[in-house]
Amino acid sequence: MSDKSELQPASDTSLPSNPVAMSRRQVLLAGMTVLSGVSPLLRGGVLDTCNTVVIRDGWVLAKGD
Amino acid sequence: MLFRSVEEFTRSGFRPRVCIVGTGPAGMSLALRLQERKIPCLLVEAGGYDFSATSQDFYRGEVIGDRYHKLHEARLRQFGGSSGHWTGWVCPLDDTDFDKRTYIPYSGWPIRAEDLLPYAPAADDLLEVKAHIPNRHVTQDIDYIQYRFSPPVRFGTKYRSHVEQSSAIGLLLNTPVLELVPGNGRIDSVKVSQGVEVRDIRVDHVCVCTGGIENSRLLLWSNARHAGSVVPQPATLGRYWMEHPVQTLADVVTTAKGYEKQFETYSPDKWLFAPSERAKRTYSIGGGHLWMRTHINEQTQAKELFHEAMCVAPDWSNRILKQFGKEYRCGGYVVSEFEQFPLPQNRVELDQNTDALGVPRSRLFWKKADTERKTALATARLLGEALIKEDIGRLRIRNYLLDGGDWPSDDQGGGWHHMGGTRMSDSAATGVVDKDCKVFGMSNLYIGGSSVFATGGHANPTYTIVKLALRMGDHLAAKLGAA
Repeated sequence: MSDKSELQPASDTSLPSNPVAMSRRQVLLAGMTVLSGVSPLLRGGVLDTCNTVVIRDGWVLAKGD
Repeated sequence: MLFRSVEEFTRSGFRPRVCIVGTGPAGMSLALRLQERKIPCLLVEAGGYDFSATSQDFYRGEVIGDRYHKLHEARLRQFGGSSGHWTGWVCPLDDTDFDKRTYIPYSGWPIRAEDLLPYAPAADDLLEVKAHIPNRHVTQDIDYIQYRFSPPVRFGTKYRSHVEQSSAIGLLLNTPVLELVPGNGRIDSVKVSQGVEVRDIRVDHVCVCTGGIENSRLLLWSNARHAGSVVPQPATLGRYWMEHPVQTLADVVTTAKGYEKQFETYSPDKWLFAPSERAKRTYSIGGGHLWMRTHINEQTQAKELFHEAMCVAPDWSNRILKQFGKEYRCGGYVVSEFEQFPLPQNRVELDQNTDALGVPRSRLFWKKADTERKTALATARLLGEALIKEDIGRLRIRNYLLDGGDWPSDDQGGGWHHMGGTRMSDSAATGVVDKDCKVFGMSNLYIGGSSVFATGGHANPTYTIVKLALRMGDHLAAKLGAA
């Protein structure tokens, strides 16, 4: 709650941008990584998988699958 | 003790110490607790014993943002409130839901999970459920969870005769509260409508328990009518409104038999999982529960999925080919109901349109953020890993999550759970009520219900609503000097 600018007056009818949003690029990057089956995002990332799991065309698979 | 009019109540000589506005799970639980503590109270209900098209019309309002339920269908304006269409899901918030989580702005309650724990047995009794069943790890990142199910308890049906016969609980039906009338740092009276008449009911203490949207509406309107003297520090009033978004995240090829071996289940075609505490911390995501729903006796979807799996996972497909139609007989899908981070722009406001009594209708601004997409995507992936570990299936994440597309409009959208708007906090700068559910700056005004939630976790809110109401009852009893 440090950002008081987020406390818009009641008359404000807009939906301002999310202060904690992932950028569109981050979301698309995540998607592209999965769809291409390339190794996952940085460790700790949303689609980071363990050594024995891969994501291929959206399928969450074991490497031996 | 049923009063047929405000006049009859006034003439009766019954002098309640607490006026409770609303008779849903929050209001009724509070009234029953106060009765136990020998504190007389008055329930003021806008509807009658049954809802009607006329009573529901008061809930109509506009929704701006994501697709959502019709507001006048989301709550019931009747004795017993929305327990009348409650599905009975009972689950406590996770302990860490009360924490300040660095990756969730505005998170953190001024109370701890332990503060509600003493009220669990009484809440279990009220809702007629057995003791909570702890989560069980499937992997380090995925837990198997079991909800408990109330019959469900319909508070209006269950407690009608009890309230009518009680000498400690008064009841006024068909008595909408139009506004709260402030005095000097307190509420002096509530202005109510009865037919064509408007009457004032003097109050000692008042607790507003009208629902997760109506609480904000009544306070916003009362504040507007009385130059901000009802909620003196309204920075967050109406804001940080939350739901539990409900979306289909993935499809699965799985074996129902495998699950029957692994897990107890409440239903033959559903299993519930959730990201573990470790997963939430590690990936900076919110909570969620994942329903694994299989299409039992529906092999068409399973075959289509299996054909696709043969292309991307030929070795696995060949391995299970002989089992298909036997062990591997189910296609299915994963629906998640997940935590929405509290954001100020998700809010309840007063509309220019008014209801039949001249009170502005609600206008709800509600939109899912990319943080919710991150939670959904991560939990789907983690569940996929759990299926591999258990060797009971494979999961395909839906494209919209992967390519950043729009949320599907054919999903349910939300869990019918209205939270926030009068959030609990340790400061008036960041909330409307304090740890006792008392409005900051007011000596006798309290709020009950899920509108006080600072964060919503993934658990269905009724159980927490009831525990908070019981705790508030004890607080008021102590304050008012009960035995």
